[in-house]
Amino acid sequence: MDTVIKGTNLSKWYGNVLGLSEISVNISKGIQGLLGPNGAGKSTFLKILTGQLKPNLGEIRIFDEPVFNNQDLFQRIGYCPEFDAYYREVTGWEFIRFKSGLFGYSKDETDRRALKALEKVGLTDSKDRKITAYSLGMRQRLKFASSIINDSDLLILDEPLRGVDPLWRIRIIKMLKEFEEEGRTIIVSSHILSEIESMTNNVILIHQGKIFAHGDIQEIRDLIGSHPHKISIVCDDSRGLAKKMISDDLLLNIQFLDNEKKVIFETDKRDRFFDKLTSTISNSSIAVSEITSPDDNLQSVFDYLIGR
Amino acid sequence: MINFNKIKIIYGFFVKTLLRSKKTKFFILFSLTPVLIFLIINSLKLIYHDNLLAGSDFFKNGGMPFFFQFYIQLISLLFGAAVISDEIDNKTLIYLNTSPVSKFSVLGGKFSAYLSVSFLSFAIGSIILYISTHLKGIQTLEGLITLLKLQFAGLIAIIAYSSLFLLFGVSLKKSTIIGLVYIFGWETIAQILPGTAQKLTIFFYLNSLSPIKIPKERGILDISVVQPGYAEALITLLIFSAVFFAASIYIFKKREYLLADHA
Repeated sequence: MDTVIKGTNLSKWYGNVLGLSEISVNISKGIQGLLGPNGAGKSTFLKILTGQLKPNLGEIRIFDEPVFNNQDLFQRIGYCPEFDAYYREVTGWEFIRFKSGLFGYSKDETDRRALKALEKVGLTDSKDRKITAYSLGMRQRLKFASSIINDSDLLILDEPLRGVDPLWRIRIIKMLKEFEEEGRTIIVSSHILSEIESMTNNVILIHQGKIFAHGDIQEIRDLIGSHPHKISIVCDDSRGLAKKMISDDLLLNIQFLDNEKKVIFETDKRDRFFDKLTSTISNSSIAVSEITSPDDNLQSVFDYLIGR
Repeated sequence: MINFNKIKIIYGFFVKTLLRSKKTKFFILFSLTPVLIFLIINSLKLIYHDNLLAGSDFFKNGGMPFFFQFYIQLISLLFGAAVISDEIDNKTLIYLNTSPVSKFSVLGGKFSAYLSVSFLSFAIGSIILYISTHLKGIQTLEGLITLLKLQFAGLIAIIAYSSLFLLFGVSLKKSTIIGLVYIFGWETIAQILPGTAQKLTIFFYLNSLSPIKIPKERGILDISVVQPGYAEALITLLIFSAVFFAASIYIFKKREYLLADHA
């Protein structure tokens, strides 16, 4: 398979703070998820990919070309940054048209591409409004639009779904899958596992500036499956629920909180636990008002995996 | 290769954003301060039946120092240094640095947009002041030429100061503070220092370009340095500007800009 991105021993420091530590990675066509808790090094990696930063050590090549200050290479790359950054004085249309113009198209082509990008993210009706009047979700979609103007061979998206409403999340994910089918390479970073899971099975796990795992998301799922999991449930009869949930080997611990309004179960058999919970609730008169999983996030998974 | 079309696109976009910005509107209004002061003084004098303040005197002793020793420096600093520092503060530099545009085009397009708007602000205030203080003079060819020469001197001054502050902006974190120290520290002190320290200021050359001499502080030892001629001053300021701009491009090209906590 053709390698699109080749990183060799990439290291990056910010003074004494380590951003990336000797990362070597080859990325091929398709959607590649970049997963890691906040502060793991994902954005540093993406900034090196987009030529905003130079690695202190190592080398990065995209389409077999060096990246830093290689402006011609950016003709083939689309980038959606993580920041909610925008020019305050302009409209969505003016911004997208400006971005489109920087690719060097003719005037008509600049307009056509800018309009097409706005159509794809559903912002044509509000294109003449100032960006400051957009909601966070609209600004996020505008940023996404700016990254797809050039139909790039490589699309780099840093937390692209942050702040986007559920309907547009689905649409953007669908769009990314279509891009993948067209043979393009897409790198998506997120700290939410389910977000990445909905786009691709192929992930790179980054933690503390290092690649923790690289491969199929199912392997990560298996690791998470063995992670002791806490599930918090608020209901009108927490003791009754606990009594029904107790079985041979399902629970590691039960804790009652808030005058027994809340019960926290700890289990290392997550899937079986949820099967039993669903059947227990549906077969009883217990009224459940909230089910949350306080440690169902990457940070806790990583903490567990590295043995903290 | 220089892509003039992309420079034009960047220039157009940033002229538009600047003209809509509160900063520009403030500076345009601020440039009218001397006009307002002149009108207030003469209104009061009319009320109290006093002799009116001569417009040419006010322009020379009030308007010239305001524009050439304060306003131009301040607007050049707040616009010149902001060419890149605004992009860093707003984290919008990402959009420019990840587009297929050379750093030269980015800096060239943005800098010329900032220069244009700075000059426009200066021109509005200085022209209105000149007209209101030279009601008869402006109707003569000589008066018109003086006004044009003043505008040209203002333009060159803005180019020279802005280039310097652009260099500060691309290379220093606290560029505005350092710029203020330069303007109100070094440029002021050097005027009264003995020796040739004055030659290391932009103001020294600027004074030679102006058709109306700008009042200066007397030196500590009162050793005056011979003012350069018009051509020498113009060439020197243009060379300064070119050097500052070239250095800015070099640094902008080499430097990494950290926009947030990098993790």
